[in-house]
Amino acid sequence: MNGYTGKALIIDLTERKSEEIELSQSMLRAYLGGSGLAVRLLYDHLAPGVDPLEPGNVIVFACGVFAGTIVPAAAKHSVATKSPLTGMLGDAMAGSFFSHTLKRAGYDAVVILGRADTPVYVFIDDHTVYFRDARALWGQECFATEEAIREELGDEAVRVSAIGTAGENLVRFACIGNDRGRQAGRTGPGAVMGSKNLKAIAVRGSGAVAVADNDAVYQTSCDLITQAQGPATGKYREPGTVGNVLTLNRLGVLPVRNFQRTALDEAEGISGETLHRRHHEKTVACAACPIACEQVMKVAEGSHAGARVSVDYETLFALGPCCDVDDLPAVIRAAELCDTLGMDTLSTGVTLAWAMEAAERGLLPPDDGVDLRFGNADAMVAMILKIARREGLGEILAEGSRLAAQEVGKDSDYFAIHSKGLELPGYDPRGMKTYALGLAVGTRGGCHNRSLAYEPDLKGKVDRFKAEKGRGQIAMAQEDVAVLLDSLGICKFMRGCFTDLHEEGARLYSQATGWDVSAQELVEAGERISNLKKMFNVREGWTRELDSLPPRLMQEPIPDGPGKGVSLPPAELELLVSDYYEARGWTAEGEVAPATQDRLGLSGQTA
Amino acid sequence: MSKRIKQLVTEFFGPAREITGVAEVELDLETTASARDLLRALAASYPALKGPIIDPEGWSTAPYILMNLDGRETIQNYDLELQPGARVLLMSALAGG
Repeated sequence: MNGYTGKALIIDLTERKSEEIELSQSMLRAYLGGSGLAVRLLYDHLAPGVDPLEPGNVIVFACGVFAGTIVPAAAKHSVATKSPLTGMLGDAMAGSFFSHTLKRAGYDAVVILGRADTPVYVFIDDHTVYFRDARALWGQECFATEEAIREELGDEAVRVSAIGTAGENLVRFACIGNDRGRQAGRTGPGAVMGSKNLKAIAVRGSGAVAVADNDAVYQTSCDLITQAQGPATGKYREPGTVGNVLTLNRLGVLPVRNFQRTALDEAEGISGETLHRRHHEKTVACAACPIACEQVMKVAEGSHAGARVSVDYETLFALGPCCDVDDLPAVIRAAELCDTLGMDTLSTGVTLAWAMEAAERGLLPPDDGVDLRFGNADAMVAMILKIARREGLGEILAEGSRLAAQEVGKDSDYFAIHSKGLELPGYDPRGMKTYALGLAVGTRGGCHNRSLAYEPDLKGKVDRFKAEKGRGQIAMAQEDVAVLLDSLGICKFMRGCFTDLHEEGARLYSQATGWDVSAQELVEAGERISNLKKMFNVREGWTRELDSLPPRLMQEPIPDGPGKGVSLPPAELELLVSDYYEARGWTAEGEVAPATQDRLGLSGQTA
Repeated sequence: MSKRIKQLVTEFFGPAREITGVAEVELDLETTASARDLLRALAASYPALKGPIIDPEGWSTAPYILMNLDGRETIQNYDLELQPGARVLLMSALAGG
């Protein structure tokens, strides 16, 4: 098989055994790889209704079709599981050499079942699987674990996906780290690994990934590299996505103080430009990427001297304006702690912002030595450690904002900023109505990366302050583009390098696989995968009321900036959601209609 | 007889700010000046904007650059006549992260 290996590895941690299964051409063609393949395998191997942190949960790692080849910025791998944060589809992506190496070891995907009786790490050494004792690694941070495993195995070329102490302690937004700073970040897959006593997966791959037409793939890759180093991606290199702070602030959609405000009076001090000027150490790229968007920041002096980590916009937003913290060295330290302890920076920051507001309202008990309130950078840094260790208030906050608010009660869910339990990213949806819809209906919860529906709002393709019929079609199309890229394993920052993603993507896919795939087939694949994600959620108990947004955002108008006074009342969101269901061919209740299942080859698959 | 003028403020974000080295500039233009006229005037004041930010062929923004009016709407029609006191934003097409 070209492009693919045609094999998945099933690993049973309980029995400490593994087996290879064949992946058919029809399945690969229908679900492409990456996110699509991961969700397909999860759907097939997971029994409905399982508690996400029980041994019955399943976690799948799947590579894109181009991983292991020369196609640039196409080395994303997908992680799918039942999320301990949302109770729905857990769906995360990471850029990585891990996927290149897994493909070279001979696998398109790895499916993890069961739970080991003691901490282990799995070493996939080409086609041999070892279950190795990880008791000495338990308690180590993500980066240290990667290094320790490479040292133990005596091979610098081994690639490792590992959890930190947050995953071990079942923090519900724990991530999985790889390549010293790339994360499968959202929806808590690190906690699922922790629940399975699985510290890491290490891979050594010595094979090659064949493509059908070497010359064509080479030429297309050269063209993409040229595009990827041109103006289409310039914004990612200088100053990087952190440049969004000033722009979103000016547009009045920068969430501040747990979404109580939408703009800072003085944003320069926390801006990406200031961060870059004061702390930028170097720009690096993740696996096989010609863009190089990763901005590594370093603190040279002061109490956080030595802190060093890459910072993107969402991290800066969540640990900065959302917590009303303008201390850049503290933000860098906080981000570094999240990465090393293995926690999603976005959920960490937004959960902390909820806690700061709850504490200021007197709804949280005092925590020994940590004075949680907006703007207290020291408290933010201290509490991150406590969350990872589940100490003091960290025990509550490790549950994420939704469950923490349920536990605290006293109407604190009013200002818990999540959708389906996933904390929202750094754009205020009241001033971006298409994006608001994308957040509300997202299968992994409120997420910009899965919906991409912010684009038409911010590019002026629509009136971003207006809710109207037609947005459902737009949100659907944007979502299907996102899932297509996630399934091909191509970084979303590459999307501007394609004039017509479906046409050019189909050509490249055909060159790699040797299968004659049309643009329309890729359109349908994106739609099929989006629908399967929804069917997964329905099987896990999804109901329409979950396709919603936090009460604060539907009851309070925008308080400041160009959109001052604009609101997003529930009826308006309902109109948008219904329009989306109609565009998708779903029932009025939001379930995938039988006719749509038939059309996409998904019939008879609901439990 | 001298032409009547209006003052327009342009705010720079991202690469536009990097190139100009300033956060904003105020320029005097004729009262009938359009968005396209403003881009010409900006290019005259900051020639380095030509290419990466301003397309000097059609006097529009370069690909991946947006021109926004008062933080509320993206300018799609460069013949739009700008009102006195308008604030125009030159910024990158936004991206997640």
